Amino acid sequence: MPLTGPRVGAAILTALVLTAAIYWFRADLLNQHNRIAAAVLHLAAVPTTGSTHVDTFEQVGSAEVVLTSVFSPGEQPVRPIALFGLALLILFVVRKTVALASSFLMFLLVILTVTAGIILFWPSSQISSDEFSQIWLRGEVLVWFLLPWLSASLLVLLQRAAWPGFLWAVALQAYAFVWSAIRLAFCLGVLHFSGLLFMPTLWFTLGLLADVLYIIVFLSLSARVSGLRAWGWRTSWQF
Amino acid sequence: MGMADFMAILTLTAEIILGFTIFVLTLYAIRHYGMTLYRLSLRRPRDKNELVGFRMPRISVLVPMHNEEGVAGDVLRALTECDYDKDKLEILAINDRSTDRTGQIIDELAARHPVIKPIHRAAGKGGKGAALIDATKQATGEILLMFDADYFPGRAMLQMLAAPFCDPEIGAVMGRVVPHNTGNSLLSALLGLERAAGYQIGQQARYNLGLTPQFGGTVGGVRVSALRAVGGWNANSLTEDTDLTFRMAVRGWKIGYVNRAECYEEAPESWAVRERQIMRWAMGHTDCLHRLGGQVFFSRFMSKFEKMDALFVLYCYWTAPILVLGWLASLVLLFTPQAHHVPEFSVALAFVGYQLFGSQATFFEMGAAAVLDGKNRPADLIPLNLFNFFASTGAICKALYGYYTDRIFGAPGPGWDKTKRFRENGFRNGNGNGNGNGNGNGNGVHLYTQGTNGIYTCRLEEPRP
Repeated sequence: MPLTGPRVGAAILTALVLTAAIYWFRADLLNQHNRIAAAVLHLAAVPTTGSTHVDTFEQVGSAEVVLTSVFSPGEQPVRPIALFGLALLILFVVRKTVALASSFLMFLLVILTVTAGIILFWPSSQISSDEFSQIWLRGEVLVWFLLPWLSASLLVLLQRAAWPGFLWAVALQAYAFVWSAIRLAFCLGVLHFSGLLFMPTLWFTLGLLADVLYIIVFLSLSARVSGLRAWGWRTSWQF
Repeated sequence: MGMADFMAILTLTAEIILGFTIFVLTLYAIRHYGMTLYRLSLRRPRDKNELVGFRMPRISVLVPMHNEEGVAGDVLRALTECDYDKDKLEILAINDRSTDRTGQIIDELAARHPVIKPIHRAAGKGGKGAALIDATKQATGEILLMFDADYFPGRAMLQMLAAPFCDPEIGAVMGRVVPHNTGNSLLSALLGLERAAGYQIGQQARYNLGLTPQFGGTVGGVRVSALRAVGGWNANSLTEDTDLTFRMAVRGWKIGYVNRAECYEEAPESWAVRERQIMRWAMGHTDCLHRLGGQVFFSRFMSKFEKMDALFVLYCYWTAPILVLGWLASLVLLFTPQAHHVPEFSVALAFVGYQLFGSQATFFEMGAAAVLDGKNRPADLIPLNLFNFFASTGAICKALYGYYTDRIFGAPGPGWDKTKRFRENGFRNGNGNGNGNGNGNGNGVHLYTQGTNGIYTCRLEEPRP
């Protein structure tokens, strides 16, 4: 179990291999990401209006993104008011019921209320689907590049051997990629049906926070498996 | 000043706040990762428990109790059953102005076990610190060991905590606190993980690295001569344990940590109780920062690394409001079009890297603690600690707001607040070592069983018809 030089070396090697693979196949990855997002939108019956290319970073290049139309509050003013009221009600009820989630939900309430205020006082404020996809991809591409290094420390070093750690790291990378496309499609669907209203809240909850959450889940699962193999041992290294 | 100027100033202010938040929290994240990796390397100094059986000092065990009729008998019986030379042991059971049957229970047990010496406090300042001051005056031991009333010390506990005092540089020793009621509520299970990370990784790594582990005021001991040298207990502190830790450290005393000295406590089972507990810790800890921060910085006895780590510990509750300020700054930047310029790849990578690595640091500690403890099931709950983190952040901000407004307006501040006990039925056998069975009062029976890994679990059994 002790953290030895070879195990640290194996963790660094895992991170290097995965980072190189992501950089090498970045164009293909971005294409596949867009195809998954488009497929999810199609399954959810959200109409798309073609696709366009957006810039991510100079070092990564551009990416094709699917386009959707965006709901404007001027078209049906009742819908955003009703949705806002419903969202507030749900957040308040859950906040009252689940004490542990109170602070977190309070922060969501603040974001939602500020957004509603902006829409009310600056009705022209809007975001297009390609702008949102661009913001999304700029965040997620960075996550994909950083994940191998996070896996190296969180997943590989906690395993009793290097190869299960490598498998955990690959699984995390694959999950991150597919889950990012699904979350983006969901956000674009919400943008299509309700406009800007929920986008900052979704960006906060389904953006980096969701990335943080699934990384913790992977850490938890890998620690469980590693702990399972150590269960019942109370040898000197544990003290 | 026009709207554009206002927005420019707002954006700049938010960027500065966000930058400061990232800087501070990155330092803390590096510290967490460093400690976890060092702990996983399993490098450690010689285990002073190898000295058990040599000259063991005379010890006085202090158990302060305020309205503890539900648990008083258990802890005192467990202590009388500990393996320690009875000629060198006294148990000072302190009845601190109790209005229930605590005093009567203590007297009954003292009549049966001469090693128990009752101390009844009927007047004077309340609180644990004041009770410890009174008891220390009557103690005859070279070493004082402290236990809260809801703890279950095992048979070897007193030996394990007393052994490190063979090293004359050791001024205080801390054992490991393990919640026994992690099966009773989600919150207590989450706190079990948090405690495991704090002790198995944080405390042990600090001890291994030659830094200052924190003396926790219970499941621990202090050398009487060291206590006198630093001016005794501070009854005015909400966290007298943190206060004593750093008063000792700045005067050159070392704090020992014994990871194998596991003692079972009751973790809060409801958020209201937990909130009060963490608010008390935040206020007491921050008060220690203001009184002792300067002394730590200028101490002649502490190394640079010890000082740095001690200041990290003393400032730790400040991270909550700093984090909230960082979130608010992010929110401002999210809604400010001027801030939406195309970021440099390296800057953006550093920012997202901070978010990912910084937020995982404490969870990494929990995962590593679960693996080191060989416990797999609690690891499943690590993701839910995210809610515990948000909730604690809110409570700490509230506590610090209260603390600083009290300081500014000269208000006296809150008094000491005892954490609510959830175990009211008690152990039938009460020694905390074997397969304990609880008894009940008609509302069900709390059954305590010890697993093969030494950890107690508690379940409530319906009353028999």
